[in-house]
Amino acid sequence: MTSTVTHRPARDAATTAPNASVTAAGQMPPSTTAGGTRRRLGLLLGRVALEVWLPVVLVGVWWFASANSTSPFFPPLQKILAKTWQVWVVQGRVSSDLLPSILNLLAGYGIAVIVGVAAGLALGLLPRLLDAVEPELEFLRAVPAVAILPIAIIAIGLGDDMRIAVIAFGALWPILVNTVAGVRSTDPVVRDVSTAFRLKPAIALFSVRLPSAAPQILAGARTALSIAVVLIVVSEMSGAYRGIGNFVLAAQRNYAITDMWTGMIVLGLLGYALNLVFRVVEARLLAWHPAYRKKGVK
Amino acid sequence: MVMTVHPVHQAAPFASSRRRRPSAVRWGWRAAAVIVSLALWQAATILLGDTVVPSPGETVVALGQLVATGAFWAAVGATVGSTLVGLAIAIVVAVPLGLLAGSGGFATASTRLSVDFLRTIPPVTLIPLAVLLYGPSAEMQVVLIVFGSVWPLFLQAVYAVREVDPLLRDVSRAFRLSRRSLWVDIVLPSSTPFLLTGLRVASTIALLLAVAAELIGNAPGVGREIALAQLGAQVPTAYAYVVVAALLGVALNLGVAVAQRRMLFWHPSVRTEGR
Repeated sequence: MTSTVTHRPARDAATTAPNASVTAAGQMPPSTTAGGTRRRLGLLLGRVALEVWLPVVLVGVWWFASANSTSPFFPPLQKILAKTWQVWVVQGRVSSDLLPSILNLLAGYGIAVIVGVAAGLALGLLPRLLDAVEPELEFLRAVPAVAILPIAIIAIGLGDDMRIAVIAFGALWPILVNTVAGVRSTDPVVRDVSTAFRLKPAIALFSVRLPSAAPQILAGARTALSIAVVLIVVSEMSGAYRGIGNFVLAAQRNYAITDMWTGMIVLGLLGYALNLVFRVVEARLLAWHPAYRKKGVK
Repeated sequence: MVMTVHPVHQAAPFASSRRRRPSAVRWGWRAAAVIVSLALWQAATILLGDTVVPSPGETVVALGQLVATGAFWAAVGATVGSTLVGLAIAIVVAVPLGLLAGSGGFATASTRLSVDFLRTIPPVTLIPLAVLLYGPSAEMQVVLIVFGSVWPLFLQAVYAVREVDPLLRDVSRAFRLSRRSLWVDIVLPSSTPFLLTGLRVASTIALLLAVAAELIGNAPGVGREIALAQLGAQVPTAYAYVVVAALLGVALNLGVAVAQRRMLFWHPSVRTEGR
C-alpha cells in the first residue's frame, strides 16, 4: 500500500525513533523551511481528502438520489434538513424533547456507573462472594434490558423515574462485569508490591486496584453507554408524552414522514456527540496509562 | 486520533473466578445465594403487593402453564430465529468488509469517518422506518438486528487485521506464501479471537434489538408477548416471559463461550483459562 506513509505518519516515524513518536511525525529537519511547510500542508490536505471523500460521496448520493423523490418514505434530503432546522431549532424541540431525554439518560447512566463500579470492586475483591452469586449475576446480566420495560411500567408507572430505572438496570451489567474482571486482573507484581509496601487498604484500593482496572471499566462503560441510548429511545417509544423517542414514533404513526426523518437525524447526531464526549473523557482518565499513551498517538 | 478502533475488552465475565475448592462447599454457598435471592424476591412481593411483583411461586406456575401452550413455543421460536438469522447476516456482511477495510492505507482511511458516524446511530432509531417499510414482521426485526450487530463485528475485524503480528507477515512474504495462503493461514487464524469478541458483543445487541422490535414494532416473539401480558394485566405471565428472555440471553452467552473455547483451543488466552 503506497499511501501508508500519508495515512499513518506517526507509526512509520516511530519505527525509526521509537521514543519520539508524538513529535516525530511533525518534526522536520530545521533546514527545510518553506518547501517543508508546503509539503506538510500537501500531506495534510491529502490525508483529510482521504478521510473525507467517502462520507461526502455518500451524502451527495443521498442528496441527489432523493432530490426528486416522490416516495412517501424517502423525502428529499434537502427537505429533511430544512425541516430539521425548523422543527428542532426554530420550534425549540431541542429544549422541550431532546433535553429531557438527555437528562434522563445521564441520570440512569450515572447511577449505573456508580453502582457498577462499587459493586464490581466489592465482588472483585471478595472472590468467595463472587463465586457464590455468579449464577444470579449471569442470569441478570443476560436479561435483554428492554424486556423489563413493561414490568417497570407496571411497578413504577410511566414517569421519568421509570425510564431512569430501566436505563440504570441495563447499563449496570457491562460496567459491573468489566470492573470485576479489571480488578481481578491486576498485575500480580503490582499487587505484591503494594502488599510489600504495606499500603493502607484504602490507598491500595483507590490508588492501585482501581486505576489498573480503569481501561477495562471504561470499555464496559462504552458498551453501557450505547445500551443506555437504546433504552432511553425505546422507553420513550412506549408510553411517554415527550422526549425524542416519543417524537419519532408519534411522527411515524401520524404519517408525518419528514418529521420522523428529522428525529432520526437528531438521534444520529446525539449518538455521535455522546460518543465524542465519551472519547474525550476516556482520553483524560487514561492519559497516564502506558498502553493508552502509545495508542493515542496513532 | 480521528478514530481509535477499540479492541473491545469485553471480559470473559467471571471466567477466572473458579477456585479449586471442595465442590460441596462451593455448591453449598451457591445454593445459599439462590435461597437469599428468592427470599429477596419474595420480600419485594410482600412489600409491593403481588399485583406489582408476583411471587417466585406464581411466576413459576405461570411459566409452567405457558410451556404447555403452542403460542409460547411459537414466540420463543420467532425470537430465536430472527436473532440467529440477523446475526448470521451480520457476520457474513461485516467480517469480510471489516477485514478488507482493516487491511490498510486507502481502505482504512476512507471508511473511517463514515463507519464512525454510522455505528453511533442508536439502531432503535430505525424502528419506525423499518415498520413503515416492512410492517410489524420478522423482516423488519432482522433488518434492525443486522443494522445494530454489524458494527461490533466490523470494528473487531478492522482491528484484527491491523493487529496481525508484523513478523508473521514478513515471514510469509519471505517464504513467498500466496495471497490466499496469507489470508487463510495467517490473517484468519490470528483474527479469530478478535472476531469472537465482536460476536459476543454483537449477540447481546442482537437479542436486545430483537426484543425491542417485538415490543415497539409488534413483530411476533417473546417481546410482544411481554407487552401483551402487561396490557392485559396478566402480571405473572409478563414476569414469566421476562424470565424466558433472560434464559435466552444466558443460552446465547453460553453458545458464544462454547464457540470461543472450541475455536480458540490453541490460543494462549484459552489455554491459561483452564489452569
